[in-house]
Amino acid sequence: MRTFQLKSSDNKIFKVSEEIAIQSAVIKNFLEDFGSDSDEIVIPLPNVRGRILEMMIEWMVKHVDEELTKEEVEDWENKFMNDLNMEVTTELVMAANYLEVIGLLHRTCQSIADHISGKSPEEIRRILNITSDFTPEEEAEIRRQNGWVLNPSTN
Amino acid sequence: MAGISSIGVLPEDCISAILLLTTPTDAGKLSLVSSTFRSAAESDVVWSRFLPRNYAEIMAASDIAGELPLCSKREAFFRLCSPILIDGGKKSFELERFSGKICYTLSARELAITWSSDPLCWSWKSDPQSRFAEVAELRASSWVEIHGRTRTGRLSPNTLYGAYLVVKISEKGYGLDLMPAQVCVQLGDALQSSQGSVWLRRKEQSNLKMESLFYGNRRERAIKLLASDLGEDFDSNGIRDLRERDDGWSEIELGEFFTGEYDEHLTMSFLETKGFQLKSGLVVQAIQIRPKH
Repeated sequence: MRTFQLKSSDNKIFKVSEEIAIQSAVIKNFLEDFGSDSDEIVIPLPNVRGRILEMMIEWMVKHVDEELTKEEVEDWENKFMNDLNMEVTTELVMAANYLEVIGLLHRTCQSIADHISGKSPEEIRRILNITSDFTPEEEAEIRRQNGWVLNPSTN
Repeated sequence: MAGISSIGVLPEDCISAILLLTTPTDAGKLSLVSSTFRSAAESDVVWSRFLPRNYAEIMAASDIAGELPLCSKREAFFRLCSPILIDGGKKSFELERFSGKICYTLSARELAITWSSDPLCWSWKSDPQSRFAEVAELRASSWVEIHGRTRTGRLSPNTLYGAYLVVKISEKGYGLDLMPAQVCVQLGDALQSSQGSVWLRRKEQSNLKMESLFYGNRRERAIKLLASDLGEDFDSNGIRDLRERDDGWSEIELGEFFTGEYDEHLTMSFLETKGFQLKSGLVVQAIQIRPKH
């Protein structure tokens, strides 16, 4: 089993086996294109900081563990997601999107979707820490277009 | 990136991936969050998830096939939130705006109504308050039996649905409210079925006293008869009533069911065959199947 080194944006090095690393479609392609038998390959990941990369690897390790049942993996996933705050979840979405770790991408997107579903635009901005970049005119126009959800009572 | 990340920096494709896990209502609210969110919330990627997979075929075979093509999936979605007629005008299809779930209506002509081809029992006529060309009016029969059949594959998967018989009771109606009618919905091989009883009564019961002069305690006897027929399953307090809609019609809930992942047979039934009295004045427009909340 080959192993590789993944290097985060803050120059932290993580050793991973091929089996674990190829859950990322991007790393898989990289290895197919530049693969050699050497253990010395260092894959730089300038868009992912060490803490996030560590969590991704934790996720990927759990998902190749053949000793775990489907239920055990699910329980582990639930616990993993419960421990995350919105900021880290967002970073994981970006990292999973960048490295194409589909399972993690789906789970983190679902978590954010669950948090914002049913909330008002103002609440969503607060939850996600976003400031509006609309002019008052633009905002009024979008409010008019989406009146059916924003003011259901006036419909 | 030392911990000061904000979702505002998420690329649009990530935002789309999140939005398509929400609902049309959420997408409408999210378009007001920021310009990147708006762009994602109006994108075809997101709205194609809210549309049924075969929506283009459904539209092409409908009464709006001749309309100008719509530019975006979002526009197509909102067009389908108003009912369109399909299958030669005998059924109608629409999407529930808030959830994107399919609502499906079978007109009276699509239902199996016993004796409906006998002009002495049922008459077919147009009604300005119906979206369909014809409705069926009960002239006189002691046996009222109506079945609607379709498949759950035409509906949204994994959704709790209710089936509703859409009716009116004409002024000259009689004999309809002496015996509770039996309603039932059966799915697939009938492992999942819901049953109930319903009173066909209008709200205003001013003529109740007059009626009791004619019929005596027949209604009470009817309930007793039904109770002995159905045994333990019967609950006289659980008899449903007609519910008035805001389109001039009333509806009777026939039952509820949950659509899973599979395409199964669905049978929805309304029967009043136990009272034996002559009945008249029930006007049947359709059976509507819509998500239950």
